[in-house]
Amino acid sequence: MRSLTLASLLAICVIHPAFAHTQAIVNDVTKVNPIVVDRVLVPTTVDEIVYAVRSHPGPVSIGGGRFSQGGQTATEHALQIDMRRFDHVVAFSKEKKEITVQTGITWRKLQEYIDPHDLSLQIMQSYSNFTVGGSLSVNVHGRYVGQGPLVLSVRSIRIVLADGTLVEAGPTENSEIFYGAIGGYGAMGVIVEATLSLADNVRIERRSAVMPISAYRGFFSDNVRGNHDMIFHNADIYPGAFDTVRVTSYMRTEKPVTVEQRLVPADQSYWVNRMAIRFMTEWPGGKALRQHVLDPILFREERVEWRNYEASYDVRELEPISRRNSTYVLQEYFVPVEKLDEFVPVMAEILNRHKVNTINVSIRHATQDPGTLLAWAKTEVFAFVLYYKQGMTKADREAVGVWTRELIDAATRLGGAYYLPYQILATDQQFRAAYPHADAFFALKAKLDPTNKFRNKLWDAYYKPGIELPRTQPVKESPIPPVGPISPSDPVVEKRITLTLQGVAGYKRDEAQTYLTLPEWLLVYYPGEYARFLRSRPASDFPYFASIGQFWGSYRDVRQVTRGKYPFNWGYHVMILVIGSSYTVENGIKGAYENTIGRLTQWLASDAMTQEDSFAADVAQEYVDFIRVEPWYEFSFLRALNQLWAETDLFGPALVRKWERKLTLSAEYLAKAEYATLIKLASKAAYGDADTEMLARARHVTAAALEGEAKTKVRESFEDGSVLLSLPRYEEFGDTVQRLVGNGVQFEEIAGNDEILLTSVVPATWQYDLAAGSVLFEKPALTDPLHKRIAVRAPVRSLHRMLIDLADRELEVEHIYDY
Amino acid sequence: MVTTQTKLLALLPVLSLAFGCLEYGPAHGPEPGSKLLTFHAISSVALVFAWFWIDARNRGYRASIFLKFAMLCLTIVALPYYLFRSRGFAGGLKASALSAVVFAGTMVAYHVGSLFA
Repeated sequence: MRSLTLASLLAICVIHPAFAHTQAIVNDVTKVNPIVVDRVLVPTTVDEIVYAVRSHPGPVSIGGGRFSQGGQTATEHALQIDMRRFDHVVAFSKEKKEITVQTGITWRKLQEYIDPHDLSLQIMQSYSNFTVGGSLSVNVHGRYVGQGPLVLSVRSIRIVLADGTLVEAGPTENSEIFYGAIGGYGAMGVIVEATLSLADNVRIERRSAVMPISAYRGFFSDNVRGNHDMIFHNADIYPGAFDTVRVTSYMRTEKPVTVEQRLVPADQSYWVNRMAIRFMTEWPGGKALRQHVLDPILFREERVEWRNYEASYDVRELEPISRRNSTYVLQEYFVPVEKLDEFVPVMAEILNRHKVNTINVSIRHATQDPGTLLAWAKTEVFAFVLYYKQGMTKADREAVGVWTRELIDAATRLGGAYYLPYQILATDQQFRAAYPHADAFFALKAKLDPTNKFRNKLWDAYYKPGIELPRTQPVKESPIPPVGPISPSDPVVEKRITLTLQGVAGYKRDEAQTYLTLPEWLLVYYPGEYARFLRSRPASDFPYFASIGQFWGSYRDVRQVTRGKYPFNWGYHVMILVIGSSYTVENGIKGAYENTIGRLTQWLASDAMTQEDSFAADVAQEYVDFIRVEPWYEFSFLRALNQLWAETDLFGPALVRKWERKLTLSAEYLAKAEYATLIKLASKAAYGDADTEMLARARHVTAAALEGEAKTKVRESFEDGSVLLSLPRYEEFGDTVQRLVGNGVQFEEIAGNDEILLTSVVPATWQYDLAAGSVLFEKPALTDPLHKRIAVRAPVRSLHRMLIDLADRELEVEHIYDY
Repeated sequence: MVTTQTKLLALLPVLSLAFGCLEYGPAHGPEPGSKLLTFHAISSVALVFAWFWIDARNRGYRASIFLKFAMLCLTIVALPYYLFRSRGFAGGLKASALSAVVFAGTMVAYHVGSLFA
């Protein structure tokens, strides 16, 4: 029975579309934290989560709505569990005013479920796009009066721990886990279900007033604290002088509503909000205009609405038009209620001294946390939600780090804390000062997750258990290292297998193509080098002509390797000549232009990088990421063209360079867009759709070796124990082969061939010393004189040994060329 | 008097303004392969082609089928070629510079459209 369950789970893993995602880049809403994960699992059942946690050998991260802003949902090479489709209501009781949900559900979906029953959430944050699980893991708060952290409204949770066990926890049952997991940022396990308290959905009336910040504490004590008719309350400090607040409260009322909708319409347009924020942050006098003109108009009207309406805001209203050059970011600081007047002037001084482009500082109130280990409300606190604009460059981020650490010190000196879902900028010492129970939290984690399975960027920064899980990529020590020579099988059996394989459609491929595909791939690597180069150097310094020379030199090398050994492959040679000619023309023109006019405008700009230079670098990187998995001609250059003009300013520093780049990049994107369309049409007509499968015969293919390999399937098993594997092609082929070899698989032949080409970028001084294989040729890396690219002919039967030997030497395989 | 050709050129920035607004409004930025992006491209190329067609007819320029095809599929190369062939070097240079200005104006209109989104 147990093995049947395991088999079923394995089947789910192999065939379920949830496993369809392989290596991916995950990011959060700010777009400044791209993280490459090995796989993304999108579960819809608890069983899938249990199985994934239990069976995945590497790190596991958990992602919800992706509104955290510092990589709290992922870490490199992790399995990321994307909870957003795990979003159903499990149980609901109107009488008990409680609801049990799968934690991938958004607050908005939950509101849509309970609103017809005239119920509301007891506590949630101001915006409804977040998932319940994400909110639990950061222990959010809202603007509710007399409430505090979300944990106060949680009756119980169910959590999948690192060993795959499913545990129920609440304030009285498994309370240690309950108070560790809520606000635990995914360190303890995957919270899969939560039972939450509900409240009545009542009509509320808005009241607003402006006052000096010095009067706010008194106002709060007299009018807000203990006022049971007040549902929501917050105070917005106007940036600049930081001496004036607008207090806004929502009181229970019996008046008829002035806002008819019960929830904020999901399809509402926010262009006015976006324009207003852009105006406030970019135009001189924008902030003053908001304080003295816009807000008085906006808050003048009488407003009566439903509680659920006020709790169903959409974060889209805060979204910038683009995050390419700048982004809007949140931070939050907590100080004890009695320290409000001490903190505000210090905060104002820090923000003004560092010229922080502050959009808003909202003050919220929270009661004391009931006992979560990472409690931010250690006592009754005021929360200062800081919303600001920052640039996307490294220098901008470093500047943010400096003043953030000053603000953290300011808050912790007063016995307060800072909030953890945002950019991870605090030192270890600051983290511990803000969260004094961190040691107890880490001790619990060590007990529940002894191998540090649940990881993300936050815990990578502060939790140092001294244990590293193996990556799912091949590592120095393979978990199953049967690397001895493969013993020859019975010749009669071998003959039978050979005959069988000859009858498999699509099995045999032209061995010459392993070599002939190299020039094609160079046109992926060179743009990759170009994209990296543009990050720090001007486009005119790139060795355009050297790259052309190296391309044709490599083509000459592969011709020499294949000449006389294989029949001449006309189709492939023509294709290489076409793409090589295109590359030559493109880079010839660019080289000539960049070394003349490009250098002139760069000189006029005093070598400053314009927005357009940064944009070009971003697009170059997007292009490289794209062509690693898709044909180049599918890339949308038109989109890049439109974004170039919409998302960079028309005026700014280095105006000549700026407009020269605009026009040059436009010409490039336009020409490529048109050329790509032509090539796409021609390519479809000449070659049809590309194959997606590569067949290989291999040994030692165990169920464990295939765990998580959604695109690898056993097509046939042979009497000598070997199997016919179906593998994905192109970029994924090499990655899959390396993972399989890391799990003990040995290849006998691939696509009917006994040799295959691989390349590796190695230190320039390294001499090939592996027992098997031979270097066919090597070329210096275009923009990095300390490295070179070597092309190695690998006997398929020794491939596993070679890959392990390369890993032992900490050398990465760039690609394995799949014919 | 405003000629048909001028009207066609004037339509380019108007169209871009509208698409800037649409693509950055409901769609939150241009998406690869989206209908909006495709329609924007096709309508712009169609306007340029219509301008070329009328201009060639007015000048009595007999455009080859190859040039007509290139005007549709490789406009950025074919347009300067046509301008130089139909107007000579000096006229072609001036017309090419003007076409760059029209292009820049069109894209500035797109930028303005995105601000309204």
